[in-house]
Amino acid sequence: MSGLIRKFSIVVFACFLVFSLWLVYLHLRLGPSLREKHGDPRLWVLENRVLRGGIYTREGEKVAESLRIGEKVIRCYPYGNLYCHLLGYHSRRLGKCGLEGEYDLYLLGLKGDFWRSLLLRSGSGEPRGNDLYLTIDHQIQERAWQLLSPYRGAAVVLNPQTGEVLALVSTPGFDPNPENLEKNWEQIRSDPRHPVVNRATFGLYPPGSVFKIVTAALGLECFPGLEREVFSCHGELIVAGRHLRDLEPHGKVNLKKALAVSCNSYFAALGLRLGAERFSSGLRDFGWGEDIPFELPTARISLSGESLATANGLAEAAVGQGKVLVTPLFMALVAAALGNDGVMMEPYLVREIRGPRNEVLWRRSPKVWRRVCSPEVAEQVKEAMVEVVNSGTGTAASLPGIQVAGKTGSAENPNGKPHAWFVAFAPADNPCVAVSVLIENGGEGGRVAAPIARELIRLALTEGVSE
Amino acid sequence: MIVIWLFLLKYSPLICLYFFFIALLLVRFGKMRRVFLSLFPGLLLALGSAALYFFTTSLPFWGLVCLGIVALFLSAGCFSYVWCRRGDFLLLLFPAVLTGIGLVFLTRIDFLLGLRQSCWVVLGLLSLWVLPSLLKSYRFFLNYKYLLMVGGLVLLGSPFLLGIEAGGARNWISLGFFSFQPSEFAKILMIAFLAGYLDENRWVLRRFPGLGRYLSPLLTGCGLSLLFLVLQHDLGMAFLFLVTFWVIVLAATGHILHLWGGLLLFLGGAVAAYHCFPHVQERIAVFLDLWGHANTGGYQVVQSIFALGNGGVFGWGLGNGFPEMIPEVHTDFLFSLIGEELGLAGTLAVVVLYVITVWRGFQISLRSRDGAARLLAFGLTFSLAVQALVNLGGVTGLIPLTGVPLPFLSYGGSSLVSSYIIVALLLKVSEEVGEAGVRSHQEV
Repeated sequence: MSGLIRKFSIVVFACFLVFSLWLVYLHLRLGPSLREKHGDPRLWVLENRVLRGGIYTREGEKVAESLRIGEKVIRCYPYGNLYCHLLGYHSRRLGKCGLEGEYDLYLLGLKGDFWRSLLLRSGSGEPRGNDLYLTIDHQIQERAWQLLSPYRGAAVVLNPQTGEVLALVSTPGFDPNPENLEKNWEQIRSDPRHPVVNRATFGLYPPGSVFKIVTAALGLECFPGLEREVFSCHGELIVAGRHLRDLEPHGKVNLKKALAVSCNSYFAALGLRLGAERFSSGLRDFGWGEDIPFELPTARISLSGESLATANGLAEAAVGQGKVLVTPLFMALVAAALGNDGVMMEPYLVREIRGPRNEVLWRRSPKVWRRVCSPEVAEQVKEAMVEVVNSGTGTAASLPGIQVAGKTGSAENPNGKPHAWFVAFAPADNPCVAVSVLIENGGEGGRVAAPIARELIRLALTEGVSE
Repeated sequence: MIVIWLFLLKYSPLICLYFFFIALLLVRFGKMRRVFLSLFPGLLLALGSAALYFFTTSLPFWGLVCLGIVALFLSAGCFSYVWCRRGDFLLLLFPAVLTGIGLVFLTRIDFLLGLRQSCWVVLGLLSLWVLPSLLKSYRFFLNYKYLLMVGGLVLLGSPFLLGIEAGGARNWISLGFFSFQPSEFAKILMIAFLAGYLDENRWVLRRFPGLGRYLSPLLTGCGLSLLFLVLQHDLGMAFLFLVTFWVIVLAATGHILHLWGGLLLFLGGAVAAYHCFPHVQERIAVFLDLWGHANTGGYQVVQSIFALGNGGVFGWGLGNGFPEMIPEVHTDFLFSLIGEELGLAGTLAVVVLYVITVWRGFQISLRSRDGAARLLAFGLTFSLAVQALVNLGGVTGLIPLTGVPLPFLSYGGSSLVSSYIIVALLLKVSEEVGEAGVRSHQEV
């Protein structure tokens, strides 16, 4: 009998042990992740106790604040749809997203300062959350919004050396002020232009010719001396029975010239010469198959390995058509990396978190995300991109006194006119700003997107945001 | 400065618990150790109530005074037992600490709940004195085993006559001014009956496991009690009864037939219950797809998991959590509130308290020479352990939710008093084991 009792007691203690392990997992891992995933109503209860922190641009412009009106607390966005995709929204009915969601615990004061969060939890002390200070430059953001608002499109402006995002715009937008948002939600959601989608980070588009800067970098990396080789363009290239056309035969071109005139035959041939293996491993260096480390949700570059297996797929991918899809943010990062000696910085939006007495609680320091190519290769591509703006398809982006390096793109797509692309950085010898502009079905990149990019670069450089 | 006081008081239950554990390990000076340790249950309650009085508005001053008196009583109960009797002191101390925590958190939810529960605590502590003086020895008790069985069955059957509906089950009886759940007490009587009966007949059953004449009283007692519970729709308790009965029979006879028989009975019962009761099907469906039912049947468990996740390692501090988010938090889900306000540190401490209580119970069972005492102590301890595990597993989403209260912690007089009666019986057995041990030592 005692043997059996002993066995049963061991079973009971084993059950308690299993339960304890489950408890540890629940408290530390599963519980917190499930709360985040399914939306814990507790944080909304806390919103009544704590005055949520504000959000400011780098110049100190207030772009989000909480106002206490009588018993109620209202979240207010003074610039309406200008910052809608960036800040997200904050509504009891619809939840939190964007920076409001990402930095929720900081804005509520639960994270940031240990002692103050302890006081906040008990509802005593100063019931005030922390403020976010963004890397966004209000003037550039506003200008980008103005320039893009006639179209559906996106623009990203960032500092190549640090990864600070100076502007991030996606049009059309929506009014994130909770009252209007809740009222218009059905209409916003069913709008065929998809105003809720942040096109800059989540919109996937064929990059068209702007992708040639990536192909060029891969080619230069794999074939030293490529820049001196000459290719003869007959106006079309036949790949496995299919014709890849150019607008006109470009004759004898080298890499610089080919990028300047955006020669499809040259880059398709280069892609084929690289082969699927080297092409995809080079793309992996650029971050293919990884999530961009960013505060907002981002879409991955979409390109399946299988589509590279056929000669046609490979040639199309090399000129940015076919199955390859990218986000405007990604292209801005590529341009920035090529301007920054091949070093891609992590993009970020929040530079500081400050407490209620304006004391800095946390400051972001720039971080390298990855090395995409060698400095020599970056230098070669940069020279070719300078050529694009000086004498090629991108002359509309040239600025007096400032050397801009850029690349146009007109991406064919099944929905009508081509998407107009322009990516650039300036000044070419020491880039302080990188830009990516996309206009959905805008037509030619050099005509539609390049002037917008030019204006944004001009503003960024005269504003002196590089500090 | 205020922050530090706030911190200390808000976390006083946690600090107190860990001081208690340290004291348990370090302080060793005979009887004084016991006196010192018996301070802790009251201290925990007093500090917790003080924190609630100073930092929340819900506890009035007279409520604080009442809780102070209860705290004194709690410590005095342990202290007097230590001073006058020789039972296993730890077996009393751990439940008392659990009771203290339970009272603090019930008061935190609603201090009237805390005060009402305090009355039951006083009654439970009194049973520690009344029961041993009523029974000369546990043997005397077990001699009337058939009477115990009939008593248990009458208790279980009483809700058919006097019962009231509560939560879809008809398992409460109302005597006008107060109501109670007879199955909690019937459980003790049935375990005692099994211990007495099996001690007498286990040799026969070991040889002839299927002998009808010897098996029939067992099957009648167990079968009828399960039938009554099922008819009252109290399936959580039926599960508890079945597992406890099965394990006691198995411990007594150790026969393979009883192992498989019980298992088959259990599986058959589970399948039958699943097909007969829609709410069992619902509970299972909720368990299998918790997040699909997050706003309907799974709401409580989902909120309970959120509460634990919110608590993290050290919790939010007493009074800072969100008990209003979990419906019926004071009965089955008190553990989740502890997890939210004291964090992992608090919940693990509670688990440790249960583990040590159960360990002492099993020790008493193993140390006793007498078969009946052994079975009685084992059965009672086992029922406590299963009840705790079923509740804890249910509220954390590890197993389906059953609606069984947490012994010593949950709000409810029947559960608390019956748990204290179990402790009283275990202490009684341990006293006699101690005497027997001493005597045998002298004889040697």
